[in-house]
Amino acid sequence: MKRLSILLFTILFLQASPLDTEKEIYKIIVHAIFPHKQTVTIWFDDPNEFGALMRLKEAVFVQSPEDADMLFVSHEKSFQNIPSHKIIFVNSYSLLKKYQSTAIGGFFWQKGRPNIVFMRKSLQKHHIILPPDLQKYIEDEL
Amino acid sequence: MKIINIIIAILIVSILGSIGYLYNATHTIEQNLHNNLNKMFTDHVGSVSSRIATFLQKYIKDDPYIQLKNDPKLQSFLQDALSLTAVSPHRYVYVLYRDEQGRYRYLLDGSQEDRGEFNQKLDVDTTKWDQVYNNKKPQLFLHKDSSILYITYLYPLMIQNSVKGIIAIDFTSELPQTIAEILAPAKKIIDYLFFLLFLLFIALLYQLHLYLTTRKKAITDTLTQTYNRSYLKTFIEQIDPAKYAILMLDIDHFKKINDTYGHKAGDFILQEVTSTIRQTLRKEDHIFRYGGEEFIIFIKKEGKDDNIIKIAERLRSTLEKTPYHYQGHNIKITASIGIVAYPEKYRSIKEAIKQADEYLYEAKRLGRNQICYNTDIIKKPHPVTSEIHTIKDAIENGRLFLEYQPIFDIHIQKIIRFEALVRLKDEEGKVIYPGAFLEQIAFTTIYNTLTKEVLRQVFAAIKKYNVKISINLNFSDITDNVIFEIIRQELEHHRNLAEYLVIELLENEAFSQFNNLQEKLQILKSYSVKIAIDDFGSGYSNFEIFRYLPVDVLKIDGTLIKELPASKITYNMVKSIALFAKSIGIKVVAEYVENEKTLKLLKRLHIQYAQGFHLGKPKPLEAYLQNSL
Repeated sequence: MKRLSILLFTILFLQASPLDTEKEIYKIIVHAIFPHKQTVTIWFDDPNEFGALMRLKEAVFVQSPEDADMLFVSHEKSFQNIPSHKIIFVNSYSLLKKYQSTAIGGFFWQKGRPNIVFMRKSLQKHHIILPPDLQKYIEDEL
Repeated sequence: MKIINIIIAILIVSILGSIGYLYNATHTIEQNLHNNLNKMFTDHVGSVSSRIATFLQKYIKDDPYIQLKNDPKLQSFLQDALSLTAVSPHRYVYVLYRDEQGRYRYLLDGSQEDRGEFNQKLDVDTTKWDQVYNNKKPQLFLHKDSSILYITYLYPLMIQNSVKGIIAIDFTSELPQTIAEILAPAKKIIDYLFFLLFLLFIALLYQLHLYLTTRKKAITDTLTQTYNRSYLKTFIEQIDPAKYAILMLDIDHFKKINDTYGHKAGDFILQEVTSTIRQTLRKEDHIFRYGGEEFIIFIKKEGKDDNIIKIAERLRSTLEKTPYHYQGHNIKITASIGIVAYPEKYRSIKEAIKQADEYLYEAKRLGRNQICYNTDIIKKPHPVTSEIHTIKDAIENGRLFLEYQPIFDIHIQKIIRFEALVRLKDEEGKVIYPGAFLEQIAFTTIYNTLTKEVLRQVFAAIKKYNVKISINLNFSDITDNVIFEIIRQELEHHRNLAEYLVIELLENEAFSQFNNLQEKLQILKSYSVKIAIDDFGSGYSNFEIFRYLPVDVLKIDGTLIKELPASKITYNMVKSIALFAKSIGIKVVAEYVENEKTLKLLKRLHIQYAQGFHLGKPKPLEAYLQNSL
């Protein structure tokens, strides 16, 4: 909680580039989902949409979604080709709303503000327990 | 100088201060304008929010979440109405409510883009939003972190006297841009003004630099970097003489350094000696190069007189001990110093300088490498016809010239010789006659310079026209080692022309050093120079001199010749002198022949030579040579 609060405080009060903010938020998210892993294998469907994610030192990017621990999806059509049992994270509210039972959450910008949403049922499906500072971002349904 | 520097420093600081103040003032004005415009926008958004709240209150009577959830048509209608206000500079206009978990969710979103859905969570800075809920008052806050948002205005939506939602209006970062655009023309004018002011300041600094450089050059001696004589005139007008002692310092035998090692060595010595003087003295003492190797030093007094003597002695002894190395040569110098400890006791500082020069001269006469002073002297003012500076200026700036009066053989009416008569011109070209300056410069180094210059011009004339010329000197000039050495050097230099020179000696004071005089005249005569006794028959002159001195010519005093036609006694006196001279083989010249009657009487007395206005006035040599020779 403290880490995220500090981050949000930093976002709100100090000048930081949106890309740096995104990177830090992705870092927190990845660490919250895989708290015991030093490196996490990641797949994404569009490098242009996940520029900040690519800066993560803890991430190893893979070509096949099968090889990844976590999938980052920005296009709806990608859902047709990815294994639904994987941990999926999206980057828009509309996509998350549509695939709220498949994706565990999403991170997106709304009115110039960073917004995080985790889906309770998806988290439970993957036996993910978020740290207390991220609990407030959990939604039952959209 | 110090005062000018202080004034300049104050001026620069004032200008910089003014520019700083103006800059600050304009910045404040700009800030005020910015704030006013900001206020104008926020006032505007305040009233828009208030109108929105009033409008919403008409339709929402209870819990807005429940009412809008159950009435999608109302939701759509209100959202459309809200969207009417979402125009620039309002980027987003929306209404959020706080749920039970304290998260903020959309009720309505009238934004044209990035529109949130009903009940969608929006992560906001809850601290500020909660304040509006708690205080029921509008709030405005800046987004310092965001590149999209500038400010957000929050207005409480009151339903049944409690806050049921918050109307939020986000301003985009275009707002400051808009304000900046409004202010831009005024800012541009201010920027131009400051740029012009800056240019003016630079120009002022450049002018100041030029002025200081030029002024420094104008008052500094190029070789030694001491002050020059031009500045001396200004300096002595500005100072309180009681606060200074005057030291007149001259490097002994400087000419020998020039002759032996060359002029470059001389320049080197002058520079090095100046450096030594500087190191020996303090910063507040002023050094002026007065002449070739002569310096005037103004010592700032701090207390007792003996300090001045100690300073002078330290200076003399340091110069004596300091060796100067020039191109492998180890050159040692000494200096003579004249001191006036109380310039304020003199009629003027110029008088005090003259006195210091006389003491310097005395130091030279006593054998050089010593200091001469009399701290108790109170000089009585005496009439001054020409200021010593004018005389020195004239001599050093080539305004000394000679006129020549012919001496005739009155029996054959032919010029046999010319008497050279020294003249000066002041800066305006006005001629100054010897009576107005010789006494002033007697016993000063200026007199030596004058003697040297007269001899130089006389020998130049002899060389050019091959004529005999006589010059006037005092007995004391011959016994003075310095002047005698000057004469001897000139004779040595013009050995082949020396036989054309006649030295007319005037006994202007009771004289006792006949042996010394005799010896020195013999030395001069060894160069074939002729010796004449001037103004014989008046003043201190007496027949005694013929016993000791090798005299060739006797000039009878002009006052006797003038009285010749009118006084029988004078006639007999002249007759006796002429007979006496003839008897010991000395030629006789009569001066002041002003009329034909006098001339006839002289012929009757068998006096062979004469001069005077009746025969020829003093004129440039060329005026006579064209007719007579």
